[in-house]
Order: sequence, then C-alpha cells, then structure tokens
Amino acid sequence: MKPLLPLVFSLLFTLIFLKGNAQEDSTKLVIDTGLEVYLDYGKLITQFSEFESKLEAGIAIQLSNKLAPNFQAGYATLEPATAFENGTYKSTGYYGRIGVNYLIPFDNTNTFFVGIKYALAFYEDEGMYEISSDIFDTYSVSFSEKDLEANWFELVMGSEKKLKNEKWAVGGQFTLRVMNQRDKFSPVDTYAIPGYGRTLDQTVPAVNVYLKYKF
Amino acid sequence: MRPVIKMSLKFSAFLSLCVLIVALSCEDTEPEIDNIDPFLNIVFINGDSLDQLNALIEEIDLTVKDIDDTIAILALDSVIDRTETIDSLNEEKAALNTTKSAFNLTVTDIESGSVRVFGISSPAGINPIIPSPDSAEIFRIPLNPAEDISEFEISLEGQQYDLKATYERNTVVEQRTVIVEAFLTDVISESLEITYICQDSSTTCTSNETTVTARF
Repeated sequence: MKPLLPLVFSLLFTLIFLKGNAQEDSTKLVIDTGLEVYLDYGKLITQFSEFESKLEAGIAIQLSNKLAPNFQAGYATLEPATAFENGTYKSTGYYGRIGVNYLIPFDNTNTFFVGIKYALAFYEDEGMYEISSDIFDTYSVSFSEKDLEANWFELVMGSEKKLKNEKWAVGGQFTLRVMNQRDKFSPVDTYAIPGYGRTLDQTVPAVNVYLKYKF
Repeated sequence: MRPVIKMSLKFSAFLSLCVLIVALSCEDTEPEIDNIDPFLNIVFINGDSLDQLNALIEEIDLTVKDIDDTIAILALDSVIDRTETIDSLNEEKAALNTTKSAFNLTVTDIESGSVRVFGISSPAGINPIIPSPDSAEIFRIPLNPAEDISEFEISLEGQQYDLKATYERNTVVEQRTVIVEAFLTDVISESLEITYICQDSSTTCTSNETTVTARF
C-alpha cells in the first residue's frame, strides 16, 4: 500500500510543524504522570454488528519524560461478508499489543502523540465455499485451522483531549499496521486476523477511538 | 480561540481527511467472475452426413469434368453445327454447380457444428441440460467439480452417445471467489470420434480453454 507512506510522512511533518508552533506558547505544560486505563469504545459498537464482535482495553504508564509505555489486549470475532463471493469465513481469537507512545502536548488539555507497537495474535479460523454446477450436485467444502499465530508492528499517531473532569480523556489514533509473520494456507488463505484486520495487504491502516481514565 | 487550539482542530480535520482518502483508496472495483466450476467446450459434427455429402460433391466434380471434355470435343467439329448440344451441356453443368454450391454450404454448416443437441446428462449428475437448438455451435458442458472424472450421456439427433472426461482439479481464489479449475488428462468416447488440441502446453491442458470436436 504505497500511498500510505506519503501519508505517514505528511502526518509526521504536520506533527513536527505543530510542535514547533506549540513551543512558542508561553503556557507552562504539565505532564500528568501515573497509571492510565482505557477502553476502545469504537469496538463496543461492533457488539451490535452481525459481521464482527470486538472488545479491546489497555493500560499505560505516563512518565515525566513524555514517554508512555502501554499494553492493550483484545478479543475479536470477525465474519467479513466480503471474504468470499461464494462462501463464508470466520476468524476468532485474542491479541495483545505492547509499545510506547511519545507525547507532544500542545496545552494542558490537548495532546498529540506518536508511538510504535509490537502486536501478537492467537486465533483460529473456519469457513466454507460452494461451487455450483448446472448438471452436478453443488460442491461444498468446509475448512478450519486451529492454533494460528501472527505478529506485526504498528506505527501510531493520534490526539487526546481531557474532559471537564480531568481524570477522564477521549482520544483517537491513526495506526499503520505492518505484518511481520503469519501462518499462510493454500488454496484458501487466512482472510482476517483479530487485532490486525484483513490480510490482503502487507500493511493495513486502522483508526481507534478510546475513553481513558487516569488514576 | 488560541492559535494552538485552532491548529489542533486543523490537524484533526487533516487526520480525518487522510483516513477518508485511505478508506476510499481501499474500495474494491474488481469485476465478478462468471464461471466458478470447470467446463468443456465441445463441437458436434455429423460425420456420416459429411462423408455422404463429400462423396456427392466428388461425383458432381467428375461429371462436370466429363461435360467440359465433351464440350471441348464438340466444339472442334467443323462439319455439323453443335451449338444447341453445347448450350444444353452448359445448362446441365450450371445446374450441377448450383447443386454443388448448396452441398458445400451444408458441409460448412456441419463442420462448424450446427447440429441439434437435445440433451446432455450425467449418471453422477442431478439435472440434465437441454441446450437450445439455436444455441452456439460450441457447447459448454460443465465438468464435475467434486470428482476427477465426468461421464455424460448425449442425445444427438435422436441417437444416444457417451463421453468421458478425466482431469486433475485445482482450487484457486481469484478476486475473492473460490473457483475449481480442471486440467484435462483425456477425453474419450465409444460412440463418438474425439479430437482435441490443447491451447496451452500439453502438461496443463486447461479444460475451459480447450475445444473438443466430436464426430458422430
């Protein structure tokens, strides 16, 4: 997905530009250090979808040096209707991400950040396809694969805003996921991986929105 | 509004726009695949009729040659006026050539496979196919996607014929569609004279791209 590279560079350039402007502001910036927990509320909406069901939460520790080591864990059931024109597909499993974010605070309410993560998924998939014929019985084939593993890296950039009660914040992030290793099969390969998404490309973009509580 | 807030709002809008562009760039525009099961292209030729017609055409050619020889001899006669006889022979020759043209058209029709196929069924199948009499001259017969062999019973102009195709199957995914390909290893019949030439290499005789000629 070559168009993503200029996009990443554009975002990085914008962040650097904004940071340069922010430093001209005379307001004293305060980094709220400590433990944070957050919930991906965008994934909660998928509970009402018939195609997927996702749940993801995480913890982070904000350090005074603007670094924030973080960890997320999630569970997903993916049943993309677009997997096969003449079949069905379902992928289910757990995943975890570990990484670190670097904060670029603009003021004491709004913060931007960039980060990098390593992710690991344990999952299984199953499905079936049908070959219909004008003369013969429809040829139906079921398949399933257990104990599958995949790992990938993620480049993250996003923004966060504190709410009136400053212990709470909402945020969103754009993620570029780069596959490192996964199990492959022929003729019908893994179509979707929990935590990663569709495997059609070596890189996939993603957007997350979350609600955070700071202890 | 403080400049930095304005800036952050602009950045948020920029981020949203980028996400939208990425989403649109990922949209699928792939065409759908028509055939997911393998098939065999087959042309039926009425060999008996063809042989009879070719024999008649050959007979006409010989007769026309005899007429030409006769006309040449008569034309040399300087004693008796043979004009009436020669005109009569020329009329006979023209009539024979008209008949020959009609036979040639019929031969062309037969060789192109314009025959009435009343039905194709298989002992392992569930539905017989009844091709339209006006359908294409090349008939597309589905191969069994679940087996490496397909046997057919074919009704051609009131007679029953057999046909058996053996092949190796391969399952592939193309444009999010699972399809079964067949690579022919043999096409045989006890009642039809079968010939076919693989379009690609002999090791991968893709059934969908091969046309079988069946003379009956």
